[in-house]
Amino acid sequence: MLFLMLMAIESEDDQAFLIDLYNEYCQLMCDKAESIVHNKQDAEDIVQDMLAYMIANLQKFRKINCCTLPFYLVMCIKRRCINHLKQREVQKKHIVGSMDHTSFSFEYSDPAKPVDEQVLLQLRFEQVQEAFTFLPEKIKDVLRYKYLLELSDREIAEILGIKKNSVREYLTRARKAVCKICEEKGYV
Amino acid sequence: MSNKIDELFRKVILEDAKEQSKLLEEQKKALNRNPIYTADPLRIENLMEEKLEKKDRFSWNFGFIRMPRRASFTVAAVVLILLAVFIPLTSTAARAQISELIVSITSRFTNYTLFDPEGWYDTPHMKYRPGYVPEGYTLVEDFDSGGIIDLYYENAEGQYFNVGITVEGGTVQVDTENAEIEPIIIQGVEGTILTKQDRTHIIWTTNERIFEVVGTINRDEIIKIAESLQNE
Repeated sequence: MLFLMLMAIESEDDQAFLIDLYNEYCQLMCDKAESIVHNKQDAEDIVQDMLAYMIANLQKFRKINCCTLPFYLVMCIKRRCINHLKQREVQKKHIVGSMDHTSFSFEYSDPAKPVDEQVLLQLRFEQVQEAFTFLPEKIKDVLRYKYLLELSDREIAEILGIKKNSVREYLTRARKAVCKICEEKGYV
Repeated sequence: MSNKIDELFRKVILEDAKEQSKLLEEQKKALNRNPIYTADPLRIENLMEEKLEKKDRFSWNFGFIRMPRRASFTVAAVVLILLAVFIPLTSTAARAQISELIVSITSRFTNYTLFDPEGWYDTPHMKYRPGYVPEGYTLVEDFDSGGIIDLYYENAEGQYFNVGITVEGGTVQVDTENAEIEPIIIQGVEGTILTKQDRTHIIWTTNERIFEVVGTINRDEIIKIAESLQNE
């Protein structure tokens, strides 16, 4: 099936690009997928699905900066792994990056307090970058889905298993967390 | 302002992605050094083949589950074809057999047989007609085969009565199942009157003929018609 899909790519240049991309990162994607789903066969299936996605979105992959491409692919794989685990109904045991309301109840979150946008804008890029590293991995993933994979709120909601309207709230909380970290570090 | 913050976070995330990608590149190199993951220009084709083989193995491993399903589909298809071919034959045969069975094991169908068939062929041509026809009824069918006369009368409401005279063939079957059966004298001879649901049937015989009048009109009218039957 996938081989036929490859054959469906008219341009030889596109075919070559995709085969190179796949050969280059297949092992990495399989490795990451296996580390999440803990099943080699499932991991390979997920990578095969990823290949189908790459074929369907070839031009999009062509535009991705090669410096961020590996992480982009890994995040895509991660997203598929989470969906896969959800489908297997074992996400409560193994899911990585799963989100629920309790995930955000860390000390930096204060829903009552609005985001001080002025504070964020006063921060230097390096300071926000540093604050970002202190965020929990789960929060980082939400921001990555939003800004790296450029997923819609609905798609993020599906991954996180939350309502679409809650995605915006979660992003707000992530920003508040960054503000809080920067305040604590004395950047503002 | 929100767009600026979005842009700020996007920049942070992209930078994070670069850092992560560097780490991943290192991991990728380590994986590539592992002979298990050695890159192969034909790997994609190999993966396709492995995928196909895996599917074959799956089919083999679970063949014992799939076989009954396949077999059942095959059997179902064969049965459907056979039914399509033989249903007309079997149903006709089955109906005939059932009919014969009912007749043979029950006495609910009564045969009226001409007692003395001799002289059939000497019978002059007959033209029997009821002298009395209830108002509104008209003759809609007049069947005369020479040996059987069948007159069919009907009114505007769809009610009917039928006069039959048999001179050849000798046998008339009357449905007597669950019918109310009484003897009756018609035209001076002993006959039988049967009532079943809305239908009344009078039958009587002479040495030469079997007469019957049957219809959905009321009993008295049927009797009146039977009494009036005459050869013109």
